[in-house]
Amino acid sequence: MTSFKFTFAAGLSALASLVAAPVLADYPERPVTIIVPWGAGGGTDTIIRIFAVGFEKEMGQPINVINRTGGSGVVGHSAIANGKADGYTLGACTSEITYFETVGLADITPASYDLISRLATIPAGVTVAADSPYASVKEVIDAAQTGTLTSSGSGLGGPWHMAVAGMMKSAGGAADTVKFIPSKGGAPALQDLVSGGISMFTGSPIEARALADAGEVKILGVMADERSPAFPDVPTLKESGVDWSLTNWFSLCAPSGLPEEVKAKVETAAKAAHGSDAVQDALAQRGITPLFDGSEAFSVFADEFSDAAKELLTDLGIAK
Amino acid sequence: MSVLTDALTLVFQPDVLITVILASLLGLTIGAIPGLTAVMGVALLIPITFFMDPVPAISAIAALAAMAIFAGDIPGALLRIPGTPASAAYVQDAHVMAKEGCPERALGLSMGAACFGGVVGVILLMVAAPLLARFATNFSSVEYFWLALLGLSCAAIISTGAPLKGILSLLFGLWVASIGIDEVAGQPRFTFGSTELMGGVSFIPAMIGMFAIPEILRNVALPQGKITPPRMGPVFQGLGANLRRRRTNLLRGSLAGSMIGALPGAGADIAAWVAYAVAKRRSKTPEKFGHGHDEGIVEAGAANNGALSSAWVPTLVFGIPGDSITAIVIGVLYLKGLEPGPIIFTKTPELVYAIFIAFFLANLLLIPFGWLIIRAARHLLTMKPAYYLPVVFACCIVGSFAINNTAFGVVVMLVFGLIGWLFEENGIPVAPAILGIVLGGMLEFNFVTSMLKSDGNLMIFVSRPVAAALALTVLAVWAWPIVKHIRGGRA
Repeated sequence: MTSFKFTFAAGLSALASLVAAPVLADYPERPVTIIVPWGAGGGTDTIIRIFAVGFEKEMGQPINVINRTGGSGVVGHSAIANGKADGYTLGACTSEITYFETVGLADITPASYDLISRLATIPAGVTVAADSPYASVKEVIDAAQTGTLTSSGSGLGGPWHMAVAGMMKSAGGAADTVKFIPSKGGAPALQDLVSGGISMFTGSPIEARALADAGEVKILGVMADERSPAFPDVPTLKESGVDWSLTNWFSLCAPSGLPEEVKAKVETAAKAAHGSDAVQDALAQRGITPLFDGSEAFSVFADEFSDAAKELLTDLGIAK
Repeated sequence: MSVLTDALTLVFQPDVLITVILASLLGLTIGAIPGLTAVMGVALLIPITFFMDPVPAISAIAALAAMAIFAGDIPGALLRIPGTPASAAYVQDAHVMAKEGCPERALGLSMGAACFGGVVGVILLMVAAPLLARFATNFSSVEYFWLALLGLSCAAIISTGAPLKGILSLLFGLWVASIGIDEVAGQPRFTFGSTELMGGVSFIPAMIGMFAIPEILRNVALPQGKITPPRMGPVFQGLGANLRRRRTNLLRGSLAGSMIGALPGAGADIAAWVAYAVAKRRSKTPEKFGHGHDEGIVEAGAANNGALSSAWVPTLVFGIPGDSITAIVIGVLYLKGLEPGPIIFTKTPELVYAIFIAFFLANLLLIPFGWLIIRAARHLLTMKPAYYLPVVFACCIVGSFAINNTAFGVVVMLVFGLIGWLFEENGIPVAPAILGIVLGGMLEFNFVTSMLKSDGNLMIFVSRPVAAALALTVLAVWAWPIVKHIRGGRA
């Protein structure tokens, strides 16, 4: 009996130590998973994989990047939100978390996550086919007032839809002046642009760069506050007299309820990794603007973005 | 030229070459084992390619498919069990030839023909794909709608030979494609509140299930008797002379196969049947066909490997698969972030050319490796299913889990495996269902976006010249069984 009691007691105390002892003391002590809700090779995936190389060094544990795609990002974002909040499941939240609820796709809001920081931003832009009659953003906007132009770049209600809606609204028109044709990402939308199926592409100039270099499309403007170092010759919308900017963003997030120490550790490691030359250079090389705003600033930003998105989506009649 | 040098450096890396060699050996083994098909081999390879860079991944698939299609001739000749459906057209001739004591002659001929046909197909791919891509940059959603419809129609009506069953299979595929969030309106369909289903039925687990599980079930249900394959003579003896004598067949088969393969929705199987029929009709001695004659073997053997390569033309240029193998390839291209379509030729031309070079390499490797496998065939053919089927099943489970790291993938694989088995048991072709799953979303999406552009005016579908021409082609495919029926009625 003694031996049984002993084992039992030992087991109990071991169990107790598991529950009570801060799991976190030595966090991280095993590999960490980052869930990407979008496909391998896409923008979010590229950014996270670049970041993960630096993050792995800072954390001292292997980082597994896993793609959980489908359902316009719902599947992957749900997987992050429903993950265990122990710091071993992190995710790459994209701007969709601010309006999943608004468009009625899923009960996901920024509050479903512990937001760590934004990692990078990509500005929207105005790109037209090489044989398009328009040579500037102003000409495009003037022509758009007739209500005959079409735009594409993402799904309905996606970031690039909001980009064109906001641009027309800021220029004094209705948000839906330009008809938005949904597409499954940048490449098919650009394909439709070149073939004459749509009049403009309001996705990121970075997506359009290969075709612009090949002389198939013209990048007329970028929807950022400052010119992009990747496209120094392309004016911002503000320079063209339209007070509008929209940058899509990519972030590091975690299931909500992360223990404070773990969260602090993740944020510190992420900041150091993000600041390293290797990560900064690799992002800049692809025309992506690196950004690290930290948990607090990011949370405030996400709420503002959420409100702005709600307003635009209501104007567009997409909000449910 | 720098694109070509870039491509060459991408391919001639030790890891890529080793991958190609390993995939080739695997392909030969899979093709030579009766009941394991080229498509199934490719489906099982996907989870492994998942962890590779794009070039070795695609090269591995190309090599495995080319080798497996050829090796499918081996059980065909020796046992009269075609290893892959593409060898079924000339299995009778090859088997009679083998029974008459010269299996090495039949296999040598199909090896030579496969290599030649494959090379012609690759050349067509290299020449036609970039040209077609230039042209295809003018395609908008309207043209894509018609192309997808053309691919589906060909697959269901012409390729199967049984239009009704083909259409039934296609409709099932289209229904499966509609599961999940509708990408235009954001409306979930047939998801029953499941978050996993919101992403739709993941396509690769479904394919693995539909192609691998039925084979396993069938092998379990039908125990095979003892197999005694015949002895082999020297493979290369008289091969060159024999092929030269049939050079017309060789050339015609390669060209016809390559062209059929390049059609969306038509692949190696149909190419082999058509080539065999043409060879018979143009032959001076059609009565010898089916009795160990070599013309059909050469022509159809060249055609199926030619079609295998050229099926990549619509795959890379339009994202519309030519056959079941390229349907899987589309899934891999998306996983690797290489969205097929004309843009891939401007964005990453070196990758496209690297794929072409890998194809070339795979077809040239057919000769040395083919010889090896013919020598080793006796042992492969006598292998008991009890040894390799559990391995195949384990690969199915691991593979369908690995794609999305969820057990849900395994469930999808098993369910579709059962459905695939029911299909096959009732003589319903699986390929139209697969193309339906792959192209269904594309068909619907392009239809809806076109309607959005035109404010609901249907005339948009015929107002552009290319679209109108494609529309007429689709109508012709639909009219085909009706015309055939009326003609048959009169005769």
